[in-house]
Amino acid sequence: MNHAHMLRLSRWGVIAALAAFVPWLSLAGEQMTGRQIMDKQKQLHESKDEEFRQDMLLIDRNGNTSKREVENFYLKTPDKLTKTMIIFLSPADVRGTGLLTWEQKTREDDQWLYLPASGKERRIAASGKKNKFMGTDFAYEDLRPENLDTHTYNLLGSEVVGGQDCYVVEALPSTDQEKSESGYAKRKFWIRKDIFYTIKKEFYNKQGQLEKISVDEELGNVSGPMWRSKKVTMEDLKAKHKTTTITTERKIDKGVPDSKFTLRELTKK
Amino acid sequence: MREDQNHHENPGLARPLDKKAVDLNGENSVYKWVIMSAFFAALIFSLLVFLPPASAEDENPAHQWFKDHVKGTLLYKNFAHFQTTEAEQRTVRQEGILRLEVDQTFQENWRFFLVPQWKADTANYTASPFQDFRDTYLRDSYFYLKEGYLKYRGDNFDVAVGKQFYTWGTADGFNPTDNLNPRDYHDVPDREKLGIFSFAATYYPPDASLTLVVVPFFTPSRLPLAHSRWSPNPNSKSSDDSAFGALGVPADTTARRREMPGKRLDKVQVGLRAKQTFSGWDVALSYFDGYNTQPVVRVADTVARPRFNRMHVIGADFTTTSGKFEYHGEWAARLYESGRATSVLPIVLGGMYTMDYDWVKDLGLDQILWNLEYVREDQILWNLEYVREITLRKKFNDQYRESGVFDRPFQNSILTRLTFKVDENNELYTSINWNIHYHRTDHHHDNWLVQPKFMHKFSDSLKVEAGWELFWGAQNSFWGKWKRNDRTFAKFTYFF
Repeated sequence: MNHAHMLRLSRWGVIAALAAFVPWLSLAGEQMTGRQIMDKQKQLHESKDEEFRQDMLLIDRNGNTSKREVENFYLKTPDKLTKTMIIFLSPADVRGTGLLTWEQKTREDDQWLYLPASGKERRIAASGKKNKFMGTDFAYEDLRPENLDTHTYNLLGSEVVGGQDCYVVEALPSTDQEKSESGYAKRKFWIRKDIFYTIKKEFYNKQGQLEKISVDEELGNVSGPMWRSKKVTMEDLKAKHKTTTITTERKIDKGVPDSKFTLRELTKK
Repeated sequence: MREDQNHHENPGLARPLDKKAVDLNGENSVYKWVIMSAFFAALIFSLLVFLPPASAEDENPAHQWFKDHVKGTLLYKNFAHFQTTEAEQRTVRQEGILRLEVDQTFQENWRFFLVPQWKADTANYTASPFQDFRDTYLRDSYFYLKEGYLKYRGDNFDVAVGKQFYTWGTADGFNPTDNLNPRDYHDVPDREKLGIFSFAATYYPPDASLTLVVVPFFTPSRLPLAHSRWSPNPNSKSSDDSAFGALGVPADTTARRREMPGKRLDKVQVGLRAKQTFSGWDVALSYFDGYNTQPVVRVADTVARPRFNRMHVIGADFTTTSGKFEYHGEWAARLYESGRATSVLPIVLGGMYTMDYDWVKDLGLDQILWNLEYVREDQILWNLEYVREITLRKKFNDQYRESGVFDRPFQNSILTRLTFKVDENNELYTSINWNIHYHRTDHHHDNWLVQPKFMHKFSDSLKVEAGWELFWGAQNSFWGKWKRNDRTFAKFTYFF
């Protein structure tokens, strides 16, 4: 291979590299929209499947803390719908309690709750997603992946949070169903500009009052472009109650099988 | 009426009643239980010795194993009745239970699960050291194997053998399709389910399950003792020790011991259940060919003998959701052989509504759950459930007297449970069971059981439930006959 040929190849390489960056550069230059930022976030950080263990610390207004250990499973199905399973490992009085959710495109999600004391799973109305999950400050809807098609995202500007330059994006329910089922009139996200990862969220109730704040800390690059936070704190400002989740183990894209998200698995303990 | 049966029986033999109940602690039964206990002790010991030890940093592997695989519950119950009864003069009954759950998985696919329990109470509902193998004693035992099985998990099937619980059906308060396990009616509002020795195999096609249960020998429900305040006829002056006083057995008859189905192949009980999930619905069909765990009484000449009826139960149930509602239905045609009891079709329709947090938080609550069930074999459950019983074929064999005492409590009833969840540590419940009778006769009057209850968690390890159980109705109605049993209760549970 002669020098001229090498030169031609390297020139084409530079052009190809530039071409790959053009959309990115143009977005950066022209200012991305809220939706584009959310799309980018999803593209970078969405996994096919995940399995992780968490300690949940419930802290009341007097500082009393109770701890729960949970095991989470997540799967993105080939038709781009999610399946999730949450199992409580401790304390003893809730051990074995599980929640299985199958997202649906054209109808309400399927959701089952298993309480070991009753010995059987119970189908529950998934539309109660604004309700608190098992005494934590997370509502059922907070534990689900963001549904970009049922919200409008507006870029409000930029702010520095914890020394990190962030986009501030406002999420508003855009469908009648979402408006009626969600407990929030508005949410605000602070998304790090360098890695497109949300590190802070504010939740506003139907009266427009700030109700809850969640903060993600101890971020780490877990796989390729994917980042995750090890610690998330959700604070209910009115109840003066906090829930902190600390992820103790995490496996990403290791192939959680579809059979994990079944009633058989939910009720196995 | 005289009574000559007590704890376990040899069908066909009549014996005088012996209050000391030699057979309660019979040598043969003790021997069997010593063998069983030794077996389980050896099994646990084997698991301890042969299974992989805990991690290197744990100083005591046995302690670590216990921590990982055993959880325990210590229960104290106190029931304070407002009145004495002729049958039972004491007003306070206390009960203590220590229960362990041993859960060990090995070689990935095998699971061993054991729930031994130690129990004592102040009203002598608990008497013998052990139960016999078939669990046929009239009283509870100090040591009891509540549950214990070995399960193999294949790729798409499970096989389990041992003492197990089955929970069929979608209703909350009353499950007409759930007939495999007997119940302990010593304390009627508690009516605790009893495990049953059985073999179970389940095959799991996608979004479905097909379960086969085989019960090799029969275990009856434990009815209230004759001298307990929960006897169906607490004011009976009969001196017998069984709970048959309310069956209308003529006073001049001799009551013989229960005639139990034998240990023969044709007495084996079988259950089948197929369940499918599709388009937001869970639907199941079930079939049970076995015995009613509560007896009828055969009266011939001057002899009355409790017997257990063979029945065929064909059932179905469903559950689905719409908006904030969950709806469910369950029904089962219960067909008895030889006209010894009335064949019935109980139907339960119900639902649950969960009020939203953004509404209830203004009341200072976390959650409100409203459960309503209506059952029609003349029965209702509120969760909300309505129960209605439809008669399919009347009993035509005049030699038999039906008890229906616990078997058909709900013939046209509403069952409801309202839960106020104040926060994670405090909950208020009220459950109401209302038996409705439009056409009041000597035997049919409206009657109620109301159970308001408060639950408080002191910590993750300790909680208390306290409340009232209040009965209303005529003396000859289902709940009304226990109206002298109004009481308060407190239950402390410690988890470790």
